Amino acid sequence: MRKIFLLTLVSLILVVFCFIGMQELSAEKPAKEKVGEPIKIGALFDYTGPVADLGPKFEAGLELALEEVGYEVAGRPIKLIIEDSATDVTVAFEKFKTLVERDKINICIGPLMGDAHLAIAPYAAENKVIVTSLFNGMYENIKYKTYIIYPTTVDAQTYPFGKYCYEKLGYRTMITIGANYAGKIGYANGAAKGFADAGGTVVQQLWPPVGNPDYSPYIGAFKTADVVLYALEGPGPVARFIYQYHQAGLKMPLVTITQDGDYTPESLAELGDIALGIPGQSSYTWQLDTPENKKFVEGITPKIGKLFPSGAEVKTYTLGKIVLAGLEKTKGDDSYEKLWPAIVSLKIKSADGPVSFTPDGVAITNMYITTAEKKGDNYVLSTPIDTVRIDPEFIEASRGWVPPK
Amino acid sequence: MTLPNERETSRRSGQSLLIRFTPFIAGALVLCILPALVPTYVRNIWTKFVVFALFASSYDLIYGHTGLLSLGHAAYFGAGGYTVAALMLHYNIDSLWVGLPLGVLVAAFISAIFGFMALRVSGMYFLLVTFAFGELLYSVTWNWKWLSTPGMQGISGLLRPNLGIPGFRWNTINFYYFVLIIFLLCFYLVYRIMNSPFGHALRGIRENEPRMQSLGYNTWLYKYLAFIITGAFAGVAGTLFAYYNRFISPTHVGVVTSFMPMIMVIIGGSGTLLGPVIGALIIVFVEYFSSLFTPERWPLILGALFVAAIMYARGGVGIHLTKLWRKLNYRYGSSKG
Amino acid sequence: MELVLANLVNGISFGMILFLIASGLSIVMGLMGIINLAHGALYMVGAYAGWTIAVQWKMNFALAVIVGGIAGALVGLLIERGFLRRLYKQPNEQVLLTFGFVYILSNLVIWIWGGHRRLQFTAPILYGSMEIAGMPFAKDRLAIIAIGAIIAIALWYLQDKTRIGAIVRAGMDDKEMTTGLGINLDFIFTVVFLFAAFIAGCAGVIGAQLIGAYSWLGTDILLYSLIVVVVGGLGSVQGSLLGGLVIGLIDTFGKALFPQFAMFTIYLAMIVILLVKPSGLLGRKS
Repeated sequence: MRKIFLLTLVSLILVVFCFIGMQELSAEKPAKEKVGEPIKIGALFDYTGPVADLGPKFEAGLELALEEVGYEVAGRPIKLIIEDSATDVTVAFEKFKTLVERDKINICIGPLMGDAHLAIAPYAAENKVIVTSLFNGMYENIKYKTYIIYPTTVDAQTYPFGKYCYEKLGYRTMITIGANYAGKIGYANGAAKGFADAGGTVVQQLWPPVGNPDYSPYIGAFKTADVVLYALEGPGPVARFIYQYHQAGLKMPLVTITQDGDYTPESLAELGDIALGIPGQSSYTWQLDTPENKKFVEGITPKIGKLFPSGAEVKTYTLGKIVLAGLEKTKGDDSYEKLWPAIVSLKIKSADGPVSFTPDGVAITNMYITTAEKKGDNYVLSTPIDTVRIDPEFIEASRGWVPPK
Repeated sequence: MTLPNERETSRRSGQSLLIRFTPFIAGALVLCILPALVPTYVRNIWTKFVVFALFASSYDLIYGHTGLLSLGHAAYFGAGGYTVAALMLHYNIDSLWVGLPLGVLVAAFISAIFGFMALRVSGMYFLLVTFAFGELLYSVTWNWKWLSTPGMQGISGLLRPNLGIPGFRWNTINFYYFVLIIFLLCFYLVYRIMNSPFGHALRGIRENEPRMQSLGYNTWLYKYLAFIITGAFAGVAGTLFAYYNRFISPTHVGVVTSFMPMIMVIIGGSGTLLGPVIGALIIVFVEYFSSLFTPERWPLILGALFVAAIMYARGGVGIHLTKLWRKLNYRYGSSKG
Repeated sequence: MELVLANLVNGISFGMILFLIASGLSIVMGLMGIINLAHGALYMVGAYAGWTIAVQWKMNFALAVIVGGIAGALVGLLIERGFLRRLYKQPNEQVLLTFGFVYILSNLVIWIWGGHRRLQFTAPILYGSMEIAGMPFAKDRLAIIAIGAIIAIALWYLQDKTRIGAIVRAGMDDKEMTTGLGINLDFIFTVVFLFAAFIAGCAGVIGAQLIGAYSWLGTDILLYSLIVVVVGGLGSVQGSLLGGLVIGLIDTFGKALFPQFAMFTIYLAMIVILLVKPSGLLGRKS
């Protein structure tokens, strides 16, 4: 007993000594990268969880972009390190820390969820790692200046669609139902603001939790409006909602956002006819008639073995091309100080249209209105019914939404 | 000139001293020396191990010593972490001297409330209820906007604790030793509690509660106090975790995190002093290695390890190590001719 | 009015699913004295097996239900025979063991079927809604209520009117006495456990019409069923039925009326029961 006490005391003293001593000795600067050494690009995709089917699609798009340049840029080989974010903020954050501390990446593609980005941002800024969004670019992260927000902030993406619902589709009142996390809340509220700014009224907003298995209580709580806008986590939940909405037999028309991300060949095949005719905002459709898109579709279709690429593949493809173009500009220097200004000064054309950036790192892209259609025996995403350029001033105009009631 | 017998004796005492101190030397090596020499990333894993060693050791008080299977213990762990995080988020208070005590208080308070209701039922029901309370707190941290950085679930951007020492800057090395010091202090406290009359009474309750009652013990009070103490120490671990992880989320309050101290205690050996610590070491480092080779299969490995430990390593690794040490001590440690 | 009726149907159908799982959990708990935390995982395994039959191989839905039940029973057999029996008279270890299996099964399910979530599926005749008195009702929900009621009656008959039911009830009340009467309680334990696992597996497929299948379904449904057991009370079909319906209705109406407090309504119910009648509404033991 006496011995243990003594020993504990001694160890404590030892430890305190180490504590004070080590303070001066520690120098934690990472080693400078040498030319010729591989550029490490990290990626956080979703392989398990509610949107697990997106992971392989993201991977395919990014790989295609890297294959096109033979995994090499400015004389340096590229090493791609992918981790599973499990669509969970905690997991994504831990994996991100692993990528930065163990693998020493300087740039990371993804993760998907907006809240994961909010969690990662302070840490990424501290460690000077450039992070890109996949679908959900969070406005709050602009201030860190380490964020490539593409296609644009969530609110700005759907703001023009809200206007479209009022001006072109003629709806006057709207109900929104959105998954209760930062990304989809942003999307739903951006559209709501656009709708309201154009003159419409949002009568009700519902927020089922992420991973909610059963939408019927929410469907049962719907009031009456001209249109219902849904903004749910991904292909699985969207398909489930459309199915249950149909089962409930309600008559209000549906519209949606991020349709290119939510309509995958698998989910459309499962839904069949009930998916037809729902107009939605997309940042891409495989039926875009441009040479860049034709090249992309040709390259990606054998990789994914499916009928058509959805928004997932093209996002990482374009992001890959953006990163590669930036690295070309810096002649292979992937340090934050050189790469960031190079990327935000880019102007490129990718499969989903022309891309340029604001000085803060927000991309300026096109928005397309699409729907699901039947081509022969298959259900696919349609050609654009309409195209709208997302004006940088939408970034501010879409903020500040005040919920009803 | 020494007689052969005397030489024999002095050699044996030299050996016995070495054997006696081996665990402590090993412990000092693992805890104090090695972490300073490894790469940053591994050192962070080490820090995580120490935090969870504290969590597991405190959990053993209620499980190993009192015999109560509490299934929602991350609630108190997370409560400590969230306290510190909320202080930083809403009041810009990052001082250790405010954060840590308040974290412990909040954790103890919540365990007092939950424990009171849970102890109204016994056996399997107790387990159910502690599980449900853990999930209740999970729901609270998920839905109550005040407990989240705006726009997401959980609180991010947490800072290292402010010690109030001017010019002091944190790095991974001194942060590790900081966590280690707090762990050793708490560990010592837990050790004292386990060996006190209170601890003996707890073990008596685990063995045969009716008999303790007939001896005049207010067993309910003892169980309740043990529950609160465990909750308080879990709160310490939680605040350390918040400082370490820089991010706290509802996951850290939920069933997956509750499972961690349980499996560490089972694998390391419940009811022993070092068991939970060894269990924490094993789990954290197996997780690290699994993340290098088969990250998707980690839950499978964890579950399989757990099942194997329950079925075959009764008493956990800790018991086996203790037995081994005793055997060695007996064989070589005796300094009598 | 329409709203209330729609939510009533939703609540009762969800409650039926909860009843199916909770009944198995409760009987096992009452008889064997352990909580099978893997019970939710058995439900999940059944759901995935049913999905393979009904969606992947496009076969009969009723067949899918049976196959789901068999899958649940097989996994249950493995857990009980291979592991639980060896931990004789160690309830804490048994509970922990079942929890380990939740992890294993959740990950196995991802390994075999892939990580993405499965959409709800149902029999083709149950697709869509039907009109009753001018209001639309989802056909699959009505079917769930009907099936649940039939199973409830069958289980109640088994429990109260058959010899085996009497044996099980006797075993719950007094193990030693029952064994003393020459009844092989060990064998009964295994049979009951398997039967509960079979029902859980079937419930998985039946419930998949509302919930689909995903890899952490095991823990999600476990939480619900644990609360149902606390509220309804241990060891009887009636308790599980009442608990299931109460929780199903509270949860559904809670989500419809107070969406922000969606999850809390059921915890509130549990806390009230704990404070007022800890053995549950229809609990056998106090």
